[in-house]
Amino acid sequence: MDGWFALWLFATSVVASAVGGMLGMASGIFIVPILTLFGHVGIRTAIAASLVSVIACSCAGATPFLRGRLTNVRLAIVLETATSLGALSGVLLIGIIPARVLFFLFAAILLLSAWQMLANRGDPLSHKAEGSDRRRMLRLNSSYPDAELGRDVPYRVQRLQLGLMLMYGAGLVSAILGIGSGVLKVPAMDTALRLPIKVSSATSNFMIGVTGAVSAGAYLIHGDIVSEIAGPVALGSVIGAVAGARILIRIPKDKVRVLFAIVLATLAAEMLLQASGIRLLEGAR
Amino acid sequence: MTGGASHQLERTLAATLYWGTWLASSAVAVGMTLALLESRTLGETTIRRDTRITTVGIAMFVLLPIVRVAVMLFAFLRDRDYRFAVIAGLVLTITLLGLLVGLHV
Repeated sequence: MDGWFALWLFATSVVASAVGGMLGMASGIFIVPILTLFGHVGIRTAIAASLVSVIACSCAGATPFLRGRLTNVRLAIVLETATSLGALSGVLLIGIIPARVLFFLFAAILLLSAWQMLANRGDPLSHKAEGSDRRRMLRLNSSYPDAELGRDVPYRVQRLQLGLMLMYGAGLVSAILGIGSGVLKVPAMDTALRLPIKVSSATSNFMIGVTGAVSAGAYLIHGDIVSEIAGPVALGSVIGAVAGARILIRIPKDKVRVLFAIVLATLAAEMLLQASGIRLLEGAR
Repeated sequence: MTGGASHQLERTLAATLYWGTWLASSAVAVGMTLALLESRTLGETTIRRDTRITTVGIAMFVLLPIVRVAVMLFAFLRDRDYRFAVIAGLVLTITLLGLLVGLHV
C-alpha cells in the first residue's frame, strides 16, 4: 500500500511537472491540489512537499538558462531580498492561518492563473531610458543572446521599487501556499520591470529556489516535511521538468492554454468546495 | 552591461546547481528504492520504513539554493563588488533566519 502510494506520487508528479513545464509554469500549482484532493494528504504536508519540489525544479532548470546567459543574476539577487523577506513573513503567518483559509487562498490563485493563462503575454515594449541613476549604480541593465535575431539584445530594468514590492508579495504567497507564485511574478517582471520574456522566465526560475528555501528550511527544521511524500514528489518533479522543457516546442500552444485554463478553474472550484467542507472527487487510496 | 567576470560567475553557478541537483536527486532515488525494497521483503509486517537517505536528499535540495547564494557572496567579495556582497549577505541572512524560525515556531 505505502509502496504503491509512493509510486503514484512519483508518477503524478512527473506528469504534473512535465505538463506545467510545457507551459512555463511551476508544478506547485498542480501538486498541492492533487495531493489534497486525490491523495487525501493534509494541506500543510502538501504545501511543504510542494515547496521541496519547487526548489528542485528551480535548481534542475537553472543550468541551461545560466549557460545561455538568459539569467540576470545581479537583478535576481537584488529581487531576492524582497522575495526572501516575503517568504520569511509567510513562514511567520503559516501557523496562524486556518486550513480552510488556505484552501480559499489557493482557489483564488488558481483562478488568477487560469485568467492569466488565457491572456496573451507579449514582450513588453522597451521604453526610453528614464533617469536610471540607481539601476546604473547597481549595473542591473544587461543584454541577452537572441537565437532568432542572432545577436545580443540589450535591455533596461525599469521601475525597480514597484518590482520589489510585487516580489515581496510573491515570496509571501509562495511560502504560505507552497507554490512558485508565477502568477505574481509575471506582472512584476512584465509590467513593472519590463524585462524580455526569455530573461524574465530564466531570472524568476533562478530566484524561486532561494525563495522556497526560506520557507522549506523552516518546515524542514520544524519537522513538517514528510519524506515519504516529499521524496517521490521532488524526484518526479525534477524528471518531469526536464522532460517538459524538451516537449515545449512541439505542441499547439493556444489549444493547450485553453485546456489548462479549464483544468485550473476546475481545481479552483474543487478547492473552494473543500474549503466549505464539501467533497465531490474521491481519490484512490 | 556585465563583463566577463559575471559570465564566469554564471558558469560557476550553473555547475553548482547542476551537480547539486544530481547529488540530491540520486540520494532521494536511492532512499526511495531502498525503502520500497525493504517494504516488499518485509511484506505485511512493515510499519515504519527507513527514510533517512530520502530525508538527506530532501535536505540537500533545500540547502542547494542557500549554497548558491553563498557562492555568489564569495564571488562578489572576490571581485571587490562590495555593494552586491552586502546584498547577497542580506539574502543569506534572511534565509538563515528562516531556519531559525523553524526551530522556534
